[in-house]
Amino acid sequence: MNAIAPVLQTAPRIALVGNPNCGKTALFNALTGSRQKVANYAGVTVERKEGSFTTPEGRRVQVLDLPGTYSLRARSPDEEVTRDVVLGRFKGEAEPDLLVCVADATNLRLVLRLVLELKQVGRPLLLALNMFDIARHRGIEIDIGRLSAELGVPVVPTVAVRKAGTADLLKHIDTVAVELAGAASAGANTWHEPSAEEVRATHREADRIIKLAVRPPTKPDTWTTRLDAVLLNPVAGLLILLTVLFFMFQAVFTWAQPAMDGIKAGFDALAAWINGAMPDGILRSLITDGVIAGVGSIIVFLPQIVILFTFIILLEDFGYMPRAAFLMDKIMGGAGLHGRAFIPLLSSFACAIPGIMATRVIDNRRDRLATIMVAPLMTCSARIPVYTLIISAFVPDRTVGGVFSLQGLVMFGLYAAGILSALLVAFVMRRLVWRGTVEPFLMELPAYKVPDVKNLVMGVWTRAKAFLQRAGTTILSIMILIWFLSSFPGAPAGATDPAIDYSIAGMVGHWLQPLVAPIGFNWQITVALIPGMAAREVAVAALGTVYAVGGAGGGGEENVTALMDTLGHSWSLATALSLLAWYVFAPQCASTLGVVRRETNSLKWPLIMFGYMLTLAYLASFATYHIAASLGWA
Amino acid sequence: MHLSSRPAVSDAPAPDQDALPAPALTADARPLSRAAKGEVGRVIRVGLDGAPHDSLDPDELERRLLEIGFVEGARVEILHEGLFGRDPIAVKVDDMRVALRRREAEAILITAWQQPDASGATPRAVAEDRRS
Amino acid sequence: MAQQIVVGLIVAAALAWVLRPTVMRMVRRRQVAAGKAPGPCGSDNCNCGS
Repeated sequence: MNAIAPVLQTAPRIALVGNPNCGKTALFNALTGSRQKVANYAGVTVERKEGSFTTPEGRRVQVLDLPGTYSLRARSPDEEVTRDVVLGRFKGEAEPDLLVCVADATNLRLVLRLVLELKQVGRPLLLALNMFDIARHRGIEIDIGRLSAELGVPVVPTVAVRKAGTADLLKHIDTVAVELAGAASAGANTWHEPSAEEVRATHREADRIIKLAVRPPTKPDTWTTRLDAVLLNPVAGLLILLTVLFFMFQAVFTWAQPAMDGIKAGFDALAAWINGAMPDGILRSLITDGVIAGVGSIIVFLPQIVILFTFIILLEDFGYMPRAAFLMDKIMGGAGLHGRAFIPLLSSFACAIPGIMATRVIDNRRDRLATIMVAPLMTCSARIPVYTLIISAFVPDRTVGGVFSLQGLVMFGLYAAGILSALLVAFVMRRLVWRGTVEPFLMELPAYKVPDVKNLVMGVWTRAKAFLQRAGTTILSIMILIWFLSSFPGAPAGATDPAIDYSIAGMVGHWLQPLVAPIGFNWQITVALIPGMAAREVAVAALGTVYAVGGAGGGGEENVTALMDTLGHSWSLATALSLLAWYVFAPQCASTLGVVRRETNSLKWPLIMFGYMLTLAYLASFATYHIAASLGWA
Repeated sequence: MHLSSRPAVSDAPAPDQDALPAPALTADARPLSRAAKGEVGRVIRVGLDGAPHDSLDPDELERRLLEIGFVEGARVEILHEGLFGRDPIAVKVDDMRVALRRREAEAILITAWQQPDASGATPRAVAEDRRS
Repeated sequence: MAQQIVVGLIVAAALAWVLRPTVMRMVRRRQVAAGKAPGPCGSDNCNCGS
């Protein structure tokens, strides 16, 4: 990477390095404000956060927020990124001109060891003592001159959450930039992967420096101890966690509803306006049925994503996430999942898209992939319209045992089937496919901190923006392709059957018919399932179109009732149950597959997901249909 | 959050800093994985001395434990235990808190904690004397 | 007719976007095989540190 010569006078590049939970992201947000960009590093599923700011002397500085690590000895893809960028060997990434090691001033020991390791890289290095105000408040006295002299590295105190808290850092960056412009190049890189003995040696050195430069707190943090006594209590802690989760689930499910209805109404109005303003034709169909319906079906999830990430970031900033993982580790571990997997999986009950995005809280790649792969098995809200339609058309509305409604029981059974199959698939993946690589559960439980509002807003905003950009491009493309398949070729003049019947999707439906006959699907179901790929609930509207009840795009109450009657007459109970079983497993959501492609940065994982879910769906439907048929429900 | 409650090394610089620590097996030495809630101990050995471990390469496990603060001489205290099988455990390591499974805690050998000035020598110095 | 061209272009663009990463990876792999580009770090044809 030596080919890219840094042009220091114009845009020095700095990289933020530090332990996890050291307030590195808060400092990054304080430095860059809204001038930041979130994307993925080329070729890996690691989030790349870059921003820029201007120093008091008017220098424009590029800053890169690297994943947190305890050592340059990388153990996860995230830490590999940190190592490779720091060492200047990351493909397509310019070498940083200055490394800023960010430290939590109240917890210096491990970060000083990292500083000693970073020094070996030979690149200009600066230690930022973040949360300096909290340290001072606790009576921790840090002799900055001494610390700097012992480490051989400039040290500046910072307070990321306060307005002028980064002034010293900015001033220092200006000085360093001037020095760098004059100097030839960085010193020799003598870093190599430390052995256990070298790690011990740097620990001893860090201890020695702390003894010399830091006075222990006079007012230690007792809040963390007190809170942990309750929050990590084996029984009370789990109950509190379940309450928090229930509250989150409720919030994502119900608070988002008005906003989602509003967005949906907005897009419907837009489509109606275009339908009125443009002459009929394929371009209008593309815009309304493809683009607007497609974009609308994605953006409608934005409120859920905003609410979900508000909760996740609050819990993360507060320091609760590692505690929750601690409490859930044994339970999730039974299925071979990591303790942190439960938040993404819970979110997937609302929608697998935010759920899959939330898997970023899992550091280990395999744990994360296993979670991503089972997330769509959780019963998402888009399945509810389909479940409701079929259950109310086929399951008699009566009570069982005097208390439970039979329809409710069937609904519960479908949810349970989703959860059980997710645990089973995760178990198979982690215990049979990726055997022998059980990742250790080893994480710091940071001190609790009051979340910072600015940080929260920035975090949610960058997630929302990334969602719209990432999901928008890929998923929109897929929606356009599905629209194309469902609309071309158009119906011949004087056709009596619905137009979709003549389209490629219709033809595919007819071709696939022999394949799905064993699971009891008729061709109408098959054809409806194809546009249902756009979003699961679209299958309901598509069934309406195929059975020619309700007009184009009609999804009103009376249409659904009419459709229920039609289905009740033309399907057998076995077919209906088979379709329900299908919907538990089937990869009926192009958006989810698109997000998986974005998140894993490969086509391999969405294809594997599609394959295994399709297989499960077919087997489940086959079994359901034949058992139901043998019971005489055909 | 305490800083530097651990006795410092400068009191007794070890002459052979790169030598493998000899397993300082005293009578009450036992793995952290068998410690109960409330127990306080001192780490006397990190790593399995090459013995196989069922989750990670033993050398890798040793380095990870070291990097997160489990280092010879550190004071450890079991703060909390999980509900099922009393696993995982939350441990106070010097001035920070770490969560880990008992399976990984097997690789950490501890003895009962004594006050640093109990015998005139600091526990760290004792650990290092044994090493030489 | 103009409408059909516009629609055709949009659909082709969408298809290209969906297939882009796969194509990029294929091109990259071919370049690595031909020795025109360095391979990923740690692989046989990686340039790290040189």
